[in-house]
Amino acid sequence: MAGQKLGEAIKAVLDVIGLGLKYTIKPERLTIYYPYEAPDYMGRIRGWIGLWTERCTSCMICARICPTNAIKMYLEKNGRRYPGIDYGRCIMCHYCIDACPTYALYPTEIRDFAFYKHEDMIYTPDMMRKPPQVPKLVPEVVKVVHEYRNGKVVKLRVGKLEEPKPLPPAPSVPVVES
Amino acid sequence: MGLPSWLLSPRLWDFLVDGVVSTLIILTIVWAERKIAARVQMRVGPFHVSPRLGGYLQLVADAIRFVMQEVIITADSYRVLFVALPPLFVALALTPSFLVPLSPHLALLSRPALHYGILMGIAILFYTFIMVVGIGWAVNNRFAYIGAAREALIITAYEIPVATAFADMFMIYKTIDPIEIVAKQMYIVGAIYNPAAFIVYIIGVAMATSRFPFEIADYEGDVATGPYSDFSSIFLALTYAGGIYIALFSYSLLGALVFLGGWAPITPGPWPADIWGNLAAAAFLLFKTFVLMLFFVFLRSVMPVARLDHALSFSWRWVLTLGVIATAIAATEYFVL
Repeated sequence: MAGQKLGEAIKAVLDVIGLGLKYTIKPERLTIYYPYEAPDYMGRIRGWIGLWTERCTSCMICARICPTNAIKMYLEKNGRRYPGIDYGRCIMCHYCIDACPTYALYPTEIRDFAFYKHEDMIYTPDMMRKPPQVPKLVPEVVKVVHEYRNGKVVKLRVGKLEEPKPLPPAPSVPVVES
Repeated sequence: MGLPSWLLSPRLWDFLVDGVVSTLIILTIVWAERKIAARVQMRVGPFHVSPRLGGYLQLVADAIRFVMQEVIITADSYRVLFVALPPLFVALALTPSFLVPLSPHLALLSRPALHYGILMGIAILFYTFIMVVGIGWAVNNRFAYIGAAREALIITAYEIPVATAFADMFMIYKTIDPIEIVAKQMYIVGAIYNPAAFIVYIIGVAMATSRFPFEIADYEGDVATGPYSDFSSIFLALTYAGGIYIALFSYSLLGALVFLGGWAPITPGPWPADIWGNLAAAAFLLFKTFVLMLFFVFLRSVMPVARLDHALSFSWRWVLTLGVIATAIAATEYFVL
């Protein structure tokens, strides 16, 4: 219409109807049927963050580097401060893990965790010892990836989702007492 | 057959077939609209309610939800019209489908009234816009007000082209009787007699029932469903989620009769003798209606939304010109055929 020739407009309308018909008859779908399917991240997951308080030196670098100020340093009974993560704010960037000089914070692949209340999202140092329980909704989860081949998007099934890797063992270093 | 005579009344059967099949068609078309839009947008659409049926029962679930929801009448609204207009809207939108025959012998009206069935249907359908404007006024918030004003402007864009398209076809057939109109399309359908009128009809109906690209009065992104923005529960089901589709069904039924040849290749015998033939004719007509509706809802997945002034200028500049061309074609065929 506006600044467009009539022929171009008619051609555009016919083109878009043709394109729509093509996708209506031969759909290419991006949908992943969670929880029956899950995307295959090939190990590149940044998930829940664990903490071994034994290794923590209370340097507070994690709290300072956190881009969303999700980490709060809680005063524990032994007079030291340990980090606790608010998962309402955490964006799973794992900067805190990168910055931790003593490897007290460690990464996991636990990604599917949900909360009923906002209070549940705020993890204190004690809670960060034990990983959150992910309920098993279906007996087996199929891993899928999307590929673009021959001008079409196809969804490929690449095996079943394995059990999550076991967490690293607790450090044998003695608890740092002040 | 041993059935009592009142059970074989063509009026009863017309009423039942039209009522039941139109409900089924409208449910299916809403489902199809969501599925087609999902396919074009690389999604799946309704699925988890009845996965084996492709999510078809999602519509039933939605309907139950609409009926069970609390009815909220806002404090600022004009209560009488707020409650009265949605059922009236549905009634006005559905009436035209009862005025036209579904097969040569299956009709609710008898001959002298049936003669004017299509004409009455178009006239009644044009009145649904008053319901929409009235709903917008009764709801009384800013979105409803803007939506009602847009609807009141849009009627000027589609009323004359749609009426022109139908008048052109009446001119070609030299009659307004729906049964004779179908009889004249036995070999060539009306859309081929006068393609320009058919295009004008398509664009006009897309405007009248706010299909894309002319979903202007109740566009969700602009005016938050416009006149229906304060409706919830059964009122929303009657207007935004139902009434518009019922109007689309009636427009499509008239269009299938006039432009797509109605039950054309099927010529059933008289009613009580040839029940299956008549029902097959009705089924074929309703199938054509369904296909036409499918095209209208398909537009949602591929079209953008035009602005109000663009739609008005498009209608007055191009659609009306096309209507004049269609009239010229019709006048030629009036003297040639």
